[in-house]
Amino acid sequence: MDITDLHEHGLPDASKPAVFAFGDPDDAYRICGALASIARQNTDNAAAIATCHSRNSSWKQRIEAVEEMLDEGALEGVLFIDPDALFPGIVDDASRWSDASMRIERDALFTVLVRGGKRHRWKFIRTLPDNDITALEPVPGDRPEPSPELRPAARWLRERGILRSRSWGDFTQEDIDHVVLAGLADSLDTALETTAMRLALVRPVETINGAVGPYPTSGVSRIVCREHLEDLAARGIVSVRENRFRMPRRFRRHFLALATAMRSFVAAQEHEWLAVRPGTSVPERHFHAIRSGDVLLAIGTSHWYSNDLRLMTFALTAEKRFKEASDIYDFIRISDEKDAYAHEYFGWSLWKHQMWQNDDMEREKILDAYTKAHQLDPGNPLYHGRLLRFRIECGENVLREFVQHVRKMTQESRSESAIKWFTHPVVRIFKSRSKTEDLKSLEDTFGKTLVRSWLSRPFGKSDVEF
Amino acid sequence: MLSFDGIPRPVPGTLTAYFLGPGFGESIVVVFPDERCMVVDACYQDNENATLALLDKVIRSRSIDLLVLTHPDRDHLRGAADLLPTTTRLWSWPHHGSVRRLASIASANAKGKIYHDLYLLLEQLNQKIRNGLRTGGGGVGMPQWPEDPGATYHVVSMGPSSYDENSAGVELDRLVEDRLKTGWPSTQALLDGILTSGQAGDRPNRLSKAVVIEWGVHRLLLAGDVENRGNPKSGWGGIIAELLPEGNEPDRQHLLQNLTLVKVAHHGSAGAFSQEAWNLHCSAGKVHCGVLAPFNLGTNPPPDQATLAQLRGHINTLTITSASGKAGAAAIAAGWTSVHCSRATGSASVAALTLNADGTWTWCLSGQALLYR
Repeated sequence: MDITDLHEHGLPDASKPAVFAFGDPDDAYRICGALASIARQNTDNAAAIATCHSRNSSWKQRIEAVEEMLDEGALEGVLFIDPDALFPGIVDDASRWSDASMRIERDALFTVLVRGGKRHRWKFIRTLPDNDITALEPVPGDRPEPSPELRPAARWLRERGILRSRSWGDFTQEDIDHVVLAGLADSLDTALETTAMRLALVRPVETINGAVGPYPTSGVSRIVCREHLEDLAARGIVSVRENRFRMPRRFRRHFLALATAMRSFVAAQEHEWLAVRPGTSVPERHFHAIRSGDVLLAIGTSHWYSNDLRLMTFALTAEKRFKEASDIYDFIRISDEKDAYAHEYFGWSLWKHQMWQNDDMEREKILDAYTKAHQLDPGNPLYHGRLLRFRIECGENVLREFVQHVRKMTQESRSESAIKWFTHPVVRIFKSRSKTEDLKSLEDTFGKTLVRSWLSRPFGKSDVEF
Repeated sequence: MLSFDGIPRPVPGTLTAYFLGPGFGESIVVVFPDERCMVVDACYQDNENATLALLDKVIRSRSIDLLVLTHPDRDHLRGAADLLPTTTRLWSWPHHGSVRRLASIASANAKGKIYHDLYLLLEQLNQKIRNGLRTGGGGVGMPQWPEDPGATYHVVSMGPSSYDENSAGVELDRLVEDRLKTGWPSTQALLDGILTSGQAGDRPNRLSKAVVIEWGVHRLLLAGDVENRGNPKSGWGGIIAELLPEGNEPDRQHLLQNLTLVKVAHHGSAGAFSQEAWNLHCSAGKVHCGVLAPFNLGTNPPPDQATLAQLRGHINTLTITSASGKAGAAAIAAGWTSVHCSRATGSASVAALTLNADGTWTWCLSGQALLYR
C-alpha cells in the first residue's frame, strides 16, 4: 500500500469531488454516503448505492453495500480519507455504548477501505505518516517527542524556556502531547483561547483535513480577527499560508474539549450561526444543528447520522430535556424499525418526561415501545426488566413471570451483572411502591441478601453489550 | 484593622524578611539591601489583606519588583490579585493556564464556588501577562533574579521538578479533555486532582515552587509547599536530583546547604518532611533559623508533633508565626521551649527577620508569633 505524507506532497487533484474524515462521530456514515456519491453506477451496484443513500439502512446493511459497491466497480471521483481521523483517540473508552459502537463501525469501514484500496490500487494519504495506523501507538525510543502536529508549538515553547524535557523519558508520546498543550495554555489569554475554540468548531466539508482547514481566512472573519490568527500561528496552533489556514487535528480535539467544557454558550452560539449560514451544505447544517442543540433542525437535516443524533439524546437527557430526546428516538425508530435501542429509549425518555412533568402517561405508546424493544432484542436483560417495571406501573401483577425469568437466567448461567440489569428496575419499583408483600415473597424465594443487592445500581457491562 | 506597630521598617544595606502566617494563609515580604521588594504568596488576616497592609504600613510602598506565586492553594493566594497591579515581574507555578481553565469549569458548578476567587485571580494574571507583565522563574536551580550583574544578592527558582511539572501538565490537560470524552469531570475529580480545597493536609503539592535567596554569607530557603512524595523524581527528591549536573551544567546542590534560614515546607506537615533534603541543609551544621506558618483549621492540621520533634535535630531556633492554636502546644510537646525575643505591639501575626551584612540577624515578632529554641 502506498502511503504518502500529505504535508510533503499535497493533494493529488483538489478539483475533483472529495470527502474527508474529521474524527467526528458521523464520519463512518458520511464516508459510506460519499463513496456512494462517487461510485461509477452500473446495473450490478445500483441497489448497493441506493442502500448507502437511504436513511433507513442500518449500519450493517450500509457497510455490506459499501463492500459490494467497491467490489463491483471503481470510483469516479477522488476520495480523500485520512485513516488517522477515523480513530480520533476515543476508542479506548468502551464504557459508553456509543463509543464502542463507533469503534465497531470505524473498524468495519477501515477493513473495507483497506480491502478496496488493495484491489483498486488506491493511494493512501496520511496526515500523520510517522504514526501507526491508529495514531495511538507509542513512538519507540527512550525519549519521546511530541506528535508531529504539535512539534511547531513545542518548538515555540522550548524557545521561551517553557517546556522542560529533562524527564520526558518517563512519559509516553501521548503524555508529552498533553504537556505541550498544558504549556500552551499558559501562553494563551482568554481572548486568544476563545478564538482557538471558535476555529475548532468550524468544520467546512469542502476542505482537506485531518481536522480543520486549510480554508480561507475570510470564511471565518466573523469569528476571528487577523491579529488573533497571527498570534495562534506564531504559537504553532494554526498554520497560515496565502490567506488559508489549517488547524491540526490534535489542536482541534483539544480546543473542542475546551469549548465544550468551558464556554459551552459560546460553542452553542457559534454552532447555531454555522448551522444557518447561507451556502452551508445539508450534512454540515446537520452537524452544527446537533451541536447547537437545535432538535428540529437536527431531525430535518438528518440523513445518515444516527450516531450524532444519539449523542444528542445523551446531552438532552443530561439536561432533563426528555421530550426532545424522545422526539429524536421517535425519528430514529421510524427510520429504522429494527432499532431496538431507539424503541427502548423512546419509551424510556417518554416515561421520564411524563414523570418529570407529572403528566398523564401515554401508557400505550410507552408500553408499545418497551414491548417492541424486548421483541427485537429478547436477550437484553435491561429491556426486559424495564418492560416488567412498566407493566407493574400499569397495575399488572408480573411477580410470577419475574421469578420464572430470574430462574431461567440462572439456569442459563447468565452473569450476575446481567441478572442485576434485569432485576434492578423491577425490585426498585416494588420498593418505591411499597409492595412489601411482593418483596417479601421474593426474599423468601431468593434470599434477603440477594434481593436487597438488586436494589443497588447494576455495574459492569453496559446493557447494550448483552 | 491590622496594626504593625513596632515592626521594624527595612533599613538600606540590610535584608529584611517579613513572615506572615495567621493560621490560614501565609505570605513572605522580602526587602533587599537596595530596597527592591519581593513578595512570596499572599494572605488575609481578620478579613484584611495582610500582605497589602504590611506593604502599606511597614514598607510604605506597594511597588513589587518580583512576585512569586508558589502554587494554586487558597491559603497562599487570597489577596494576590490586589498585588498584581503594582508588580513588575512574576514567577508563577507552572501550568497556571490549565489551572485557570479548571477553576473556570469548577467555579461554574455549585460545589466549586470556592474556586471563583482563584479563577478571577488567574484571569487578571492572564490579562497582565497579555499586557506585558514579565514572567519566568521555571526550573530548578535557575533562573536568577535580578538579572543585573551588579546585584549583591540573587533569588533562585527551586522547583517543581521537571517530572512533577510534566506529570501535572499531563493530568491537568487530561482533566479538560476528558470532558469531551466522558462528560463532565466531576468537581470532586478536580478537588482531588491538582487543585486542593484549601484544607491543608499531606496531599502532594506537585506544582509548588520554592525559592532560595543568596546574599553575602546568608542563604535562605523559602520552601513553599514542596512535599516529599517518596518518588526520587518527584518533590524534594526530584529537586535535589535536578541540582546535580547534567551535561556541562555545574553542580548546584550547594544552594540547599549552609542555610541561615529555612521557611519550613507545607506548614511542617509530615508529608513535606524530607530527610534527604534536611541532611543536605545540615551538611555543615544545623540551620540557624526555621520559620513555620501553621495551619490552624480542621481537626488535625499540620504541623504534627513528630515532625516538630524531627526538626529539632536540624534547626537551632524555630519561629511559629501563629502559635496560639494547636501548633504552639505541639511544639512544646515536641521539646521546643519558647524563648524571649524583641516583640512589637501590633495585632498582625508577623515575624520580622533583619539580616546584616556581617552575618548577624535579629528577630522582632508580633501578634501570635513566638520564637522557640
